[in-house]
Amino acid sequence: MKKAALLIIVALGILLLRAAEDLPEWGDPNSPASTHLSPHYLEKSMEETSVPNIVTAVLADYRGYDTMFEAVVIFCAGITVLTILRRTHRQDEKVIKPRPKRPDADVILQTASRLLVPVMQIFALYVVAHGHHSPGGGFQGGVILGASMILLAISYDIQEALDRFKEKIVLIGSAMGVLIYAGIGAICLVLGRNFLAYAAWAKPLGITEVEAHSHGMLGVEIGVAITVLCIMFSLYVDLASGGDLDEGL
Amino acid sequence: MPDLLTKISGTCEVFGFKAEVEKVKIANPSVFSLQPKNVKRLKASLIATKLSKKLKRMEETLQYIIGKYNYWAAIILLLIGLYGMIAKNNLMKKVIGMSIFQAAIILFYVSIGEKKGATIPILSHGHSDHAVEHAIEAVQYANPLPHVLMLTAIVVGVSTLGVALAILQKVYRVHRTIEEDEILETIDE
Repeated sequence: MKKAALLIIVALGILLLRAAEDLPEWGDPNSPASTHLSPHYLEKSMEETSVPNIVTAVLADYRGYDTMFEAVVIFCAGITVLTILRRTHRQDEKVIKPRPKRPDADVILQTASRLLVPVMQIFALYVVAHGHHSPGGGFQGGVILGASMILLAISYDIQEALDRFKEKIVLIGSAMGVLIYAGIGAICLVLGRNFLAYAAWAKPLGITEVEAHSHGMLGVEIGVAITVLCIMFSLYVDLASGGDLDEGL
Repeated sequence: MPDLLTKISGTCEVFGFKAEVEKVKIANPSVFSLQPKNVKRLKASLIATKLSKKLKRMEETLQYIIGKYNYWAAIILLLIGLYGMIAKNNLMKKVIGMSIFQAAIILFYVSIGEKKGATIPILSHGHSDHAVEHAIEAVQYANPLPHVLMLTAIVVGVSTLGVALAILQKVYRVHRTIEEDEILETIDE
């Protein structure tokens, strides 16, 4: 098996290295990838969407449909993990042994994380809200928010984190994020434009069509952030507790 | 004298340099006599041209290695990941191989978006009132498209990793092991 694998790897390696000869040099500004679509994004996104962060503009506006289904993908992953692992009653021995309780040893860790978690959450909100003017966006901010909740679950225990952020709210939130995204797109349909054509929001919000793109992007980024936050936390608590949600790592 | 000439050109033909010999012959018909030292000189010049061609080819190879080492790094990482996924017996190690594979793809895409001397694709005049008036040149900013694609690919990577870990826990619960051959044994029983 190992020899066959090595043979496949070597053959594939030679093939790929030969093919790499034809690829453009690293950092070549005239490479095919940088000459067709990306100049349009770079030069026109400011006047079309009034968003200086072009990555966010492409993510949430030009490729908004793609990103919506990306949010659906992580939602599906969260639901899948829940379906595979979640148990309400313990049926057999746990896969991961719970850490022995050390009530005295965690004081520094718990104090530090108690100070850290609010700062992390405020920073995450900044990353989400300012995502179309500086590096950031829904995915990044959502991951930081999720990490803050996971830090709470690690430094205290899963029960403590679940008391603050109940499983029911987690599940409703993960569906709600996707719903916000799709809803913003669907309202564009109701207002007489295409799905996810944020220019439709100009009239109800009382702004120009170009600014409406920016506001629409902020809306969908918030939806993405809620989904990512909830799914990250749900993945962690399910995997760490083996689906019992009682005690974890 | 003629057969000596054909002999030289014959020898040279083996290396693929017949044209050079004929050129010398036509250029200096009166000066060129087939003394042994002339033959030696001719051979030396032939070796020199051969060497310079070899050097040129080496330079091209070097250019390929140095100018495109991002592809090399991505391909090597990809092969490591693929080897792990095929050859390893432990299912956890297969998952790690999958993660390395994903990292290779992400590195490959991000390196495609790189432009020499360009900055991140966030417009620096975006906050001022005259934002649109500044001329934006595409050469100044890195290609945003690979970044967008990889941003979403990272999220998908996390999702697949989560599902894989969940399946692994389930497999362990049923079979009490995550070694592939041991699982096959328990299935056979």
